[in-house]
Amino acid sequence: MSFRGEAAIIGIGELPTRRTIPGMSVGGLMAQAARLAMEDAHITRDQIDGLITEGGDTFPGFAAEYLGIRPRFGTGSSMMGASGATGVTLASMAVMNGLADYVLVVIAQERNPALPRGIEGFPGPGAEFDFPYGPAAGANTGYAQIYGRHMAKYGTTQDQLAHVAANERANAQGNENAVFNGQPITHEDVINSRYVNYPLRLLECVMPCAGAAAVIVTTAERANASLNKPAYVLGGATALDDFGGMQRPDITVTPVARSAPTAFAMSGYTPRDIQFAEFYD
Amino acid sequence: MIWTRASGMGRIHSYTTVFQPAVPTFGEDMPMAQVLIELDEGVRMVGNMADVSPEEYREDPALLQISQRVEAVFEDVTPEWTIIKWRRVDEEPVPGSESPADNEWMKDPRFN
Repeated sequence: MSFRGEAAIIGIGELPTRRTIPGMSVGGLMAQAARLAMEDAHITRDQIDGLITEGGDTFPGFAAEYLGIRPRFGTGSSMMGASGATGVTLASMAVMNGLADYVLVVIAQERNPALPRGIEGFPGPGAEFDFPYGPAAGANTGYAQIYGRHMAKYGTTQDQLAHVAANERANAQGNENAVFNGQPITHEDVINSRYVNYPLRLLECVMPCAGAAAVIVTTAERANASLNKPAYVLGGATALDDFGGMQRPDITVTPVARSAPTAFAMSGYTPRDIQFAEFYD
Repeated sequence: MIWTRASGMGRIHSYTTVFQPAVPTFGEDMPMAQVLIELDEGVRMVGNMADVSPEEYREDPALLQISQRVEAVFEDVTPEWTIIKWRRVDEEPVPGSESPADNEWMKDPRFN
């Protein structure tokens, strides 16, 4: 199965990502991003007959009620950091199979820094054997374990990896919606930032943010009639293993090593053809 | 999924030094080592060392090395709660495996 020639994105909506967006509920953030996407796609709310959200606090039923729509297809993508790409993958599957004509994929995150953070609620072996010893002890400890293993296995240096954070920050200066737009840093700043978990430094850590983004996915046929130049979905795939990531055969290799080849095979292109890439950091 | 008895033997697969606690309970032990242990049975477990205190680790980070042989020990935190920790056991490191870094950070004045 391939999405190529079957589905396309015809509108996008993105709110600026911020450390916190006071006064905005997660429903409000979703609605604002959804409105922007529909306006961009030149379609009305009544035309939305498919809805994909991240799940959890923003499960599809809640979002449909909040947006005042009654789609005939809906689901949560529920893949944490991969929810956006998975949402587009699911939307493409839906439209190419006639489950919906216009699918709204909308993901929002609110954040109130005053509320305590928790990792309760995830059942399973990880909650019993990993979280109390790892994530509960420090922030981003799993990534630090992977980093340390990568250094031991490949000889990777902290100097090399500091370039990743510095480059991402440089890119943020060209995107006014980026949380760190207007706050440039250098490679030296990364190296000089304090450790959160050796070998991971403060400026290399992910942090909680608030924001929202939405896209409208439709069939290629409908997209051809769109006022916008369609962004055709050429391929998409997902892969899973263990939630915490510490049981992978090689902790330095994530499931994207399995999902990416599937998506590339669908598209007919290879990594060599890619001129623009965005990564979950 | 079924319970399987494990030997309790393993190796340090990776480790990190935690400076910033996620909850205040761990605050006074910072910075402390957190180890990722690969059991001989292949399963990995995150945990802490029983025989290397945070103070000893800060004094000599080289006490922990990737591939170090360890065994499980059980520590009664309260009469109701028991947690698993890890203790080094003597054995030459596996050839070719090395510690992730030289722990130069310990000489950094910001941490002393």
